Amino acid sequence: MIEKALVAASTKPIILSILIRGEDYGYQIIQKVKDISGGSLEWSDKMLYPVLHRMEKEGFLVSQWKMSDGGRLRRYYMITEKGHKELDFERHQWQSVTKALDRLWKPLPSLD
Amino acid sequence: MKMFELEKAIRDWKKSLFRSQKMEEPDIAELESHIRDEIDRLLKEGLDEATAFQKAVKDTKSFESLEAEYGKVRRLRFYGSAWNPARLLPAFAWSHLKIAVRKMRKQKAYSFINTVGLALGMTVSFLIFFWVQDELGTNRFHENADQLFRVNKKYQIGSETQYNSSTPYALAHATRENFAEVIDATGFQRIRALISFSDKEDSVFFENRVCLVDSSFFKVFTFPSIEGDPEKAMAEPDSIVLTASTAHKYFGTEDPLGKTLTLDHEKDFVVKGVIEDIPPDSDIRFDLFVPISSMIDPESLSSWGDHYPSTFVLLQDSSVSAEVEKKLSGLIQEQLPKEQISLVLQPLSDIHLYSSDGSEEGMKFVRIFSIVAILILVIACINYINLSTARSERRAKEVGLRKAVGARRMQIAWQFFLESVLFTLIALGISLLLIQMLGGVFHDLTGKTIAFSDLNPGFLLGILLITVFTGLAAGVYPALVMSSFKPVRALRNGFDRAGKKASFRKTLVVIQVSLSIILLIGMGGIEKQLRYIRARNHGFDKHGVLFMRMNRELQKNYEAFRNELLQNPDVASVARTFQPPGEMSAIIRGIRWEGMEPGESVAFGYIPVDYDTLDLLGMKIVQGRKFSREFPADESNFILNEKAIEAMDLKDPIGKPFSLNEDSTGTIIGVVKDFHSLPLNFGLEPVVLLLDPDFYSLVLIRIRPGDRREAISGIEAAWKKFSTGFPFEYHFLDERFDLYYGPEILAGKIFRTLALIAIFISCLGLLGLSAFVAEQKTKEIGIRKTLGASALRVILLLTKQFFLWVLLANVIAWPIAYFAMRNWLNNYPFRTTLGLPLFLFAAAAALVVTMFTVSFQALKAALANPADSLRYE
Repeated sequence: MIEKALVAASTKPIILSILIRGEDYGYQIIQKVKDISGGSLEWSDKMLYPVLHRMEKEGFLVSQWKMSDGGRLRRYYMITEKGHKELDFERHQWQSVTKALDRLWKPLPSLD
Repeated sequence: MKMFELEKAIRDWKKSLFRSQKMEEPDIAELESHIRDEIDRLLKEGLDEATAFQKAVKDTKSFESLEAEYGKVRRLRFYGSAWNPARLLPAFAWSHLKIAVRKMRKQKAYSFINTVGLALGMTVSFLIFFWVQDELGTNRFHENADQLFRVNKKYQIGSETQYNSSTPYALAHATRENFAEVIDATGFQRIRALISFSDKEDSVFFENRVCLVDSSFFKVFTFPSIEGDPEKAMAEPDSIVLTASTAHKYFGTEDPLGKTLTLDHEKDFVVKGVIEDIPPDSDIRFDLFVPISSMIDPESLSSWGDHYPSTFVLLQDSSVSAEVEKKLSGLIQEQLPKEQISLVLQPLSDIHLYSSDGSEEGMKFVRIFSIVAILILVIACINYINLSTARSERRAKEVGLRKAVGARRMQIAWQFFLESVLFTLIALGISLLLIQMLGGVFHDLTGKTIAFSDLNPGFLLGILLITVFTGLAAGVYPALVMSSFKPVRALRNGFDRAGKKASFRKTLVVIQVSLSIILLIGMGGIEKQLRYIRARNHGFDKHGVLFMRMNRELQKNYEAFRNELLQNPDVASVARTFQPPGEMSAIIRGIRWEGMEPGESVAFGYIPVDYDTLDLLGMKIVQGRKFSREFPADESNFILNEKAIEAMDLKDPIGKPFSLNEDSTGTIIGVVKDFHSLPLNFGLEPVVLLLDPDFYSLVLIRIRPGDRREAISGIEAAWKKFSTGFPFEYHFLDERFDLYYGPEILAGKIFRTLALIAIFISCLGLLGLSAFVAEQKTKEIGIRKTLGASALRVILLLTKQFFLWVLLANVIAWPIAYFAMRNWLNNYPFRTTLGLPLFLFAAAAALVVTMFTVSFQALKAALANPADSLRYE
């Protein structure tokens, strides 16, 4: 189980990175995250949706309701210009951190 | 075992979330689709419905934890504090209110426009309503108001029936004595007098509003006394009653009772009473009261032939007025059998708004302004409805969502309705503020003051009704419309754009613009008529002439005064007359001329002049000559005007005999070109000009063009020499004319203000509407721009439908405005024409203003980045 603080910090860049590939809705985002992380990141709806709403309020996303052919209502989220910029910012930050960690961990024997 | 019903379980779960006031339908719907997806997945894995449901819902079951998460995102203001306002209102109304407030804050621009528009409409309606109420309530403060009637005189002149309120001196007394139905009667007359004090040499006052009353005056009318006993005082000769401010003017803080003052340097009066200042809503308005017997000789007082005072009667009951009328007419016919006079009773409450012949005077304006007030309120409500339903495009999805989550139509309608109520209340608040701020302007326009402290319940009720009406009218339709959107259709297509709803909005816009155009035309028409009246040639030159009242000293020294003035290079001429030219003159009957039919009777205006008056006023003689000192016989000769000759049907009038009454006969020596001896709304009358020194009460002085002040100081110097002891007061003739057209000038001002307000409100509406149109066409615009359309084409696209609407509005407005204006102008015997330019001007103004307003949004849309607008697809 990944620590809460890490999960929280990574939510935004992960969401933005997923949405850069196309619009998506909450449930599917959770599934994708689970797949991509190999199961270590299991987001709950209780956690995700408030974050999505907050990001929309901040202007990184916009949402639109769509009705599926099966008659199911879903709220789709799309990334905005501002969201793009925010993603670049986040990527820059994370890459700085991981670069530093990579350098530090290199000489150590493989962790697995 | 009970069958597990998935749908019911989900519904119950939703209901429990809904009860939580932190989550709203969109959030719940989102969660619902989430758990449904989860349930689908779990069912695929082989779980049964009940378990799948339990698992899916486990995270969200306890809504307190949900609240905590969701709560962090929203701004918490109404929850978490010990004081829970939710208890003050039923929970569901409170949340709806909160939602309404949030929606309002989200769409600040629309909310602002809407609220301001409503507030303006309400403010104007309130002010007009207040004015109307005040006008209708004039004179009603008297205790016996319902039983008080003015006696008007109805008489025949030739074939015409005339009315006025000048009655015989003897009437009041006779009425009081002879008729049981009449509790009391009073006659009073206005005079002007000079007031001076034996112990204060320099204090001299010229009073315009002195009232000669009989002993019943203060019994019949309610003028509360502050000191002394006014009722008793008027029965005692040589006593005088003052109003409080007059007493203060004369005596400062000293006690006025018992003090003496002198009238016209002739008679002394003792102050025996002080009454409160006459309230502003009284037509009977005087500053000093003196018993009539102290100023008019007993012979005149008992005569039936001299008609000067106004007579009022206090009846036992208003129902006997018809009877009393008959009896009074009988009485006067007994006394004056040769005249064809009858008497008519007019209720006190009518005299402010109706003239003595019963026709509408001020009442016309009361009607007109009431209609305008309603029109403006309607425009404001139309605005509101338009803007609310314009936003419905945006909110269709919200409504669809709500319904999908299970909200009922009534709930949604109620939500929108509450929003309207909220707007209306805020608008009410703003408008009350505005009324406070505009108190001064209102006073300038109407002479009335709004004091919230003495507002009667009727007025407050009126305000309440207007507010409720506005809230309902503005709220019901949008509420019903918006709550009726079908969820699926709303979400899939946006919103049913075609058909009824669009054309309803178009109708509203067209109506609004029509109303504004009508008001514009009305405003233009009134201004035009005013300009016409003012510019119209009166037949004599009224510019550069001032007049002053004659007094005893001046009369003695007139020739010397005149010679002194003529030495002054600034003075052109000096003459005398009776009343300011162009005002109502005395009417004389009983005139005889050669060739008159028996029974024929013509009423003449009686205009005393001296040798110099005609020249001073620039009146032209078309036949014969003017009065001349070379002909002493001229003292009994006459000059008539063209209209008189026409009325008498006299050929070759020069040299023919003419007499005013049985005693004297003179000759007609000249005919003067017609001039307006009466205010323009009365038309022309036959007049007789003659030298009658008894009636020279006015001195006219024509000054040469140039510095008025210098001329006036020269005149004042001469005055001081020849008329000491009398204050130097003068007026300019042309300025005086504006007094007559007071009502029209006022109406013009008010109409202008109202038209501007209506247009402003319409602009607000157009602004919102154009935003809506721009939004609807966002996609279209985006596509066109990427295909290379210029900004200009985009603007045209957006504005062309407004252009058509304005055109249509004109087509509707012009006939209505035309008939209304023609109707109004028919009241004036001399009127301007409603030319086409006036209508074109109004149309052009409406067009320009509309296009200007709409172009803001059009410009914004035209310059926006097409990529943004297409992105939403």
